[in-house]
Amino acid sequence: MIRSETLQVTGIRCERCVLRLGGALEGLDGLESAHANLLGDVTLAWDDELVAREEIVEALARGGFHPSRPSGRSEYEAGAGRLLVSVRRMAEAETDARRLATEARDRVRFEEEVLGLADQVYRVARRLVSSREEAEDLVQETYARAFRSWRSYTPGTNLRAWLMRIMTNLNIDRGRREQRSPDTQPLEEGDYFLYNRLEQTGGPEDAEHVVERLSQDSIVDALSNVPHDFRDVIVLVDIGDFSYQEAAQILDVPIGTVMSRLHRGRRILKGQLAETTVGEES
Amino acid sequence: MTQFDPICEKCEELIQPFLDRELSEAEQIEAEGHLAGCGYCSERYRFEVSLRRYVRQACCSEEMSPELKAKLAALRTPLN
Repeated sequence: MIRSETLQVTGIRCERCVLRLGGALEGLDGLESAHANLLGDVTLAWDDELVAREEIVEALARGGFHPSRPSGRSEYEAGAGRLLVSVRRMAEAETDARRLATEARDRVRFEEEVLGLADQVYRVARRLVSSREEAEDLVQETYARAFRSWRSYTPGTNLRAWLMRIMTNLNIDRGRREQRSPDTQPLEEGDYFLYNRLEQTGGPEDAEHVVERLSQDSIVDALSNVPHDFRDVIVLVDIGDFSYQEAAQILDVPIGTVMSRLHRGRRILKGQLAETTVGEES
Repeated sequence: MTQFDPICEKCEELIQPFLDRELSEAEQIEAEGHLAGCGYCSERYRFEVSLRRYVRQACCSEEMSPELKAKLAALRTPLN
């Protein structure tokens, strides 16, 4: 509970004595405020759960200020004295509290926004790695890291790209050590190759329906056989809907590299599809 | 069909930048002009468009589990 009292002390002769009195009280936890004037009136407010009246009186005595008698003036009359202690501390505490509240609010907003992107993040993760379990682990690690390092995100910038960068880096750092790319580069055919093969093996059909001869499973398999560097770009652009510019930033490569990997990657993908789908039939 | 036309070969090279809208204006006009008159290439271009859509569909069919979603939400910093 906050208590207050105005004491009359000896030892105050000038303005400097008043300041010295402030010094004598410095560091007393629980002292909310202290005012003093040149008449020797010291008005104190303290929290009696944190500091006892006696401790304050002792601190004053150590500084050479001895209570002589109870002040005849009420604290309101004496209150015109110089404010010495603690209101500054209270102001600091208030600023701290406000800062913490703002930070907590920003953090919650950030976390909600990041969680709102989970489906999109998962879809990309699922094609960056080969199994569902790995994708789930990767997404969890990505979120743990994102929540931990939320301060490094600049509000107003592309949050989706920021998350993807964390995820692709984690994937490269951790998973890739084990999953080495095949030593032989896959055969890269021209862009018409898959269609030509499909046309050879099936009857005449409308070009838009030819694609339905490919099973969805075979597409997923073919994509997972595309080497990482190419696959990452296909996944970011075609599944994640990132622009070339964004993909370049996420993967930290020049935009020209994104384009060439995307083009080659799509050709490799079609080559794989031709091999698995048509290869078996013919 | 003009299957062995060297222009078709060039058109094959241009298919991806064309669909990604990366060609220069001159190249774009050249490719459009060729596609308008060449059934062989336009068929393959239409196939490429549908393939891209189909790949996307095939690769986005799997939704994340509600369990994973709950786990992610639990990773948030607890409110004090």
